Amino acid sequence: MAIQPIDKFCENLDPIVKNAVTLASVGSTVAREKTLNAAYPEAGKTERLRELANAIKSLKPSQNLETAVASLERNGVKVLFAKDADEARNIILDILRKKNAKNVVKVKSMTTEEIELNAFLEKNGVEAVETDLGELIIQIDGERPSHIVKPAIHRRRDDIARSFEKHNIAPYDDEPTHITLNARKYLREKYFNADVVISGANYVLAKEGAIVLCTNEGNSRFSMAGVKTHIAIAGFEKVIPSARELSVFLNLLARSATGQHSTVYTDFVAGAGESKNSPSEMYLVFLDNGRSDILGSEFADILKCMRCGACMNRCPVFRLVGGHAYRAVYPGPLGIVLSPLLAKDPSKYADLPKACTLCGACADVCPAKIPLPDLVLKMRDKMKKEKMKVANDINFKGWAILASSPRLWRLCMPMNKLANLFPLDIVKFGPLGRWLKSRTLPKFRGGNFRKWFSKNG
Amino acid sequence: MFTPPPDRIKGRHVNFMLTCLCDSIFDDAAECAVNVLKKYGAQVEFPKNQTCCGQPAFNSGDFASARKVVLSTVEAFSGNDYPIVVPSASCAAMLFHSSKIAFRDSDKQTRDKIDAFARRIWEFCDYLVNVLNVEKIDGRTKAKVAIHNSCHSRGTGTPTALEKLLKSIDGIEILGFENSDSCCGFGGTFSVVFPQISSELGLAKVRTVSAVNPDVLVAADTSCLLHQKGIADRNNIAYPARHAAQVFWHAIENGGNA
Repeated sequence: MAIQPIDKFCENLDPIVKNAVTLASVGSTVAREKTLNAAYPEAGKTERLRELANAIKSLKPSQNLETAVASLERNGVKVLFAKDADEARNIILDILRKKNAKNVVKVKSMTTEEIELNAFLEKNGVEAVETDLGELIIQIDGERPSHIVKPAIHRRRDDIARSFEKHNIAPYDDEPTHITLNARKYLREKYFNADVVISGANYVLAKEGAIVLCTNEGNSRFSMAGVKTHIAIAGFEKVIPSARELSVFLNLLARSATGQHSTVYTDFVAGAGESKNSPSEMYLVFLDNGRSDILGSEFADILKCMRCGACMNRCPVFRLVGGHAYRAVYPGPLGIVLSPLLAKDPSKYADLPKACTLCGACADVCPAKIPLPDLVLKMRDKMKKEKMKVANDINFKGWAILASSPRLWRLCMPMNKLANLFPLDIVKFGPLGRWLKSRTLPKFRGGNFRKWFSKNG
Repeated sequence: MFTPPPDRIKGRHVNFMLTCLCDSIFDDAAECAVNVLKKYGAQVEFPKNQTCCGQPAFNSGDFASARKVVLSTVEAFSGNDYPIVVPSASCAAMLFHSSKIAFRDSDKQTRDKIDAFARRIWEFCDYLVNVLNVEKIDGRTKAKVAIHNSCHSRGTGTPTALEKLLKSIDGIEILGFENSDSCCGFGGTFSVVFPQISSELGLAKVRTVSAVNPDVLVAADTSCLLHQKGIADRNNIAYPARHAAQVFWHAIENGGNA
């Protein structure tokens, strides 16, 4: 029997990891609701804010982008454009080579994960150290983030402590505060030795020509303090008109993501500075990597995403399997739409849009009101049209003929009772076998209602 | 999320849409639904050419097959333009929301036909409260009841209507349970495409429901119940799953003026 990779992953997943992922996701959902209710007790206000976020993100990105480039350049930022991941990596490497930079500190950025920057830099002799604690934990073990906001959601403190020991960061100590202190000590040296900082951007303000970084650990500020060059990378959809609109997003982002009213640090970087403790040079790389195509497609809404992770925290499938099950950089409801769109070969992610019960919970919590289940369905349609094969897929052609032939349907319906005469449990294959593996079926009673209605209706 | 059109057609003369699951398995739920509708003043028609809402193919991404079935359904109900009452939140959502996605690239005439059909669709509980203005189910059932709000009733009038009607029955006590707003993992074809994830989610749901020990677990969808009950049976857990219509009608038979 062909097996869905994500289903297989679920079957093999360590129950302790499964439990950790579930508890953390459920916890974030609960916290989200609590802070949003506390902030906006008035009925419908959160809803209106989400509608506003959606509307702002519906504005023409090209117009915002044009304004943004002008403002950024006015502020001394060198703006570059990368059409794909390859170009983005090379642009960044080029800058690093010109600066003769060997040591980079990184501020958590999913966009750099998307272009697989770390591995590329390492191959080219540049050490890029993640300074966000969660990112550092997974980086030292060569893992990918399992959640876009909480990258080490699948890890436990004891195995983190063992990793720290293995990689000579600190002797074994699984006390959480000590893990943090040990990482802090390790990173302190990295900040001092760094030549360049690479960050993403949560938002780019077109009018002001600034980028906004929302972080919790202060690592972005430490990273900026010791280096002379700052390279930021952002998908062009991160541009919003101005700081005025930003208020809408800042009121939603942290509450949706982690249930904090605000991230601990919100940095506004408006070009390089003259002061001693800040970079004297700043680059911003705008990444396309398929976004222009998405913008012109029926999936454009997915570009409104602000990467808060609320959809995955709320997703029954993600809660059970965690991010690694999806094999792609972006997991969960967001990822099953976005990952195939960004991939050079979407067929390798053809199973992702299927990994959804269409429960709609993600759309209920999305701060940008992205109609995720509709996009998932459209993606299934797209993959079907493009003839991508998925394990366990059911052929509906015969069924469609039956269900659009009323007479045949009426004739066949009572016959399903014949199935009651067979011990169905012996069926071990096909859709029925997969159903019966963990469930029973009730007795068939085909056509009974029709008979009843003709007498009693 | 699965918000119905704001301008739906109302009226007491209605068509009953059986759904394929009630046609093949849950005839008793459908009978109860018709009895309840009639008791509260609806005149019920049953167009016999109806089959299925098309949801299985649609959710699997086979929109061509789904369109074929939806068009057949539209045709089956074309004998009049009365509202259509469906004892399933997910079949209702298929016909007032999802069908628009399935036909998004069709010609305007077809899309208009699908939009007009969408305005006729009412889920059973939603129809009782918001069209027939039923305030109270005149009946009695001494039971502790847990409610499973099916995912496709998100954003519709169904959850509020279902709870209101259950609460109105003498002797019913509503029990809350953990993660009551989480999906039970059925997801239609999802349940056979992802058997492991689906059954793990289902078992988790069955356990959280069983933990509060209800006399009845009620839902406005037979499909979620088919899945949950099937899992409970496999695991030898007693699971008193009933469709809302069954609970209403039995209460009426028990103590009302049926």
